[in-house]
Amino acid sequence: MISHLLSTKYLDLDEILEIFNNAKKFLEVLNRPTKKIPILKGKLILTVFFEPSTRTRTSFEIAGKTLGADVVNLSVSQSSAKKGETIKDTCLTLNAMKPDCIVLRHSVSKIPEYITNFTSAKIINAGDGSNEHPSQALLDAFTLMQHFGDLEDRKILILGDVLNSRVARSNIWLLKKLGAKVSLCGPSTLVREEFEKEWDVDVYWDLDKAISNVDAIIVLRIQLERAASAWIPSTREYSIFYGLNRERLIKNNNVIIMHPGPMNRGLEISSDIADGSNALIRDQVTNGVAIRMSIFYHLLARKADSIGII
Amino acid sequence: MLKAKILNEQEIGKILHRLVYEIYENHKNFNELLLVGLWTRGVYLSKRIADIFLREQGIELETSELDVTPYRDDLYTKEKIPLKTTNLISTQDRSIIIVDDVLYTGRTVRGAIEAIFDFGRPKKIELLVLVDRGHRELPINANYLGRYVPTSSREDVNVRLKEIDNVDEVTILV
Repeated sequence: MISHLLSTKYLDLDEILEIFNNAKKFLEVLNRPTKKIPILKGKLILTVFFEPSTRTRTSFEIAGKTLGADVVNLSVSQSSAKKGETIKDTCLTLNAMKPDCIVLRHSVSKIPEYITNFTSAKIINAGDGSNEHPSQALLDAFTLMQHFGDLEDRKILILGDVLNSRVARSNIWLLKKLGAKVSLCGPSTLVREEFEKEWDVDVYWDLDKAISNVDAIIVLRIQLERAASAWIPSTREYSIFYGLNRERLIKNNNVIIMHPGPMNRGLEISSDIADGSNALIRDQVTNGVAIRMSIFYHLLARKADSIGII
Repeated sequence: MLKAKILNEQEIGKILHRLVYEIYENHKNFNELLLVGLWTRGVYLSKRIADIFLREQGIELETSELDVTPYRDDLYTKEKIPLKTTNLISTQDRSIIIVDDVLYTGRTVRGAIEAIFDFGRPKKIELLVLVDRGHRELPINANYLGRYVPTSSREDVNVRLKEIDNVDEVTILV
């Protein structure tokens, strides 16, 4: 049993399925006329984002509030980090306000794990550098399970900027734990040959070959602020070779399309695919709230003295 | 350890029939009546009551399932409790009968009342239980009571139903 959500690596299968089962119940709550249950009444959740984010932070905020917790958002512009405070001091200060849970996003990998040393709150990693984004991976896998029933031997392709993607890493560990066969595709600068051995996945550089018999494709955002300048020659070239469009999918009609957002329409995914009937992108957003409710419940709703590992 | 067997299958059946008649006498508009079964055994009892209503009175009663877990006041003193289904739609202007197997401290019923109010403003809420074992900690009493069984707080009342336990019986365990 985990006491912080830092990585999908540390989750065991029973825990993952418990999070999914409870998320199904929480989806019911989101469809009620009064979208609020008092399961985390009196709990204080801080969302601390050192990097800009709208959807992840909002999703966590809605999840916490739906469960009756008090949620306070801190964004980097208001943070003392701007004034030179170290992350350790920031955490010690926040911890003195007695939060039960801190949802943290930071541009440096492993910062969430580091701050578990300085706080008694439960830490949820909401994205650390290019390392991991476990709550996104959980909602992706949950959405796929909702569609397929189970993921045993399902072929799932992660397409795009795997190198810089925290979503990809978390997804690879998690999907493999659930029995899926994961493959990666993208230009060789972003999908390295060594990933094949390192993560035990198939690597493709030819998109048409990669999508020929997959069940689902998780399209990653091309991070224009990073990748476009250094890793790919031009966005136009990328969209020709690796953009997902109707013509490419013509032979594979039933494939499921997912995207963690925000999307660059016309670059990594065409609009008719993004808005098409095979896309589960809106489901991902709704499921994201339910999954985050379930993560809060998993970490916070238990006896205060029960001890867990990371 | 088994101390006493309080009810057998036949007695549970008789009690449910009697409670159906009590509900029938107390209500006029059966369209607005909603049976809310509390997980786990309350859900099955509410379905049985609706079945008897349909068979003997020809009246179809609406039933719903309610998981009180999110509304419990002892959530953080116990190990985590798995969540169950809640399928209440709207309780606005409905007459509600909460159905549960055992009435003990009254705290579960308090949670259920709070939950029901989250789904609308009901006209009236009543309570039906199979067994009242005493030891109330809140001012709550059953409107429809199967059997009052005085117990000590060290004892445990165990209700088993065919739907999940393969047998209909109520026992006291020490």
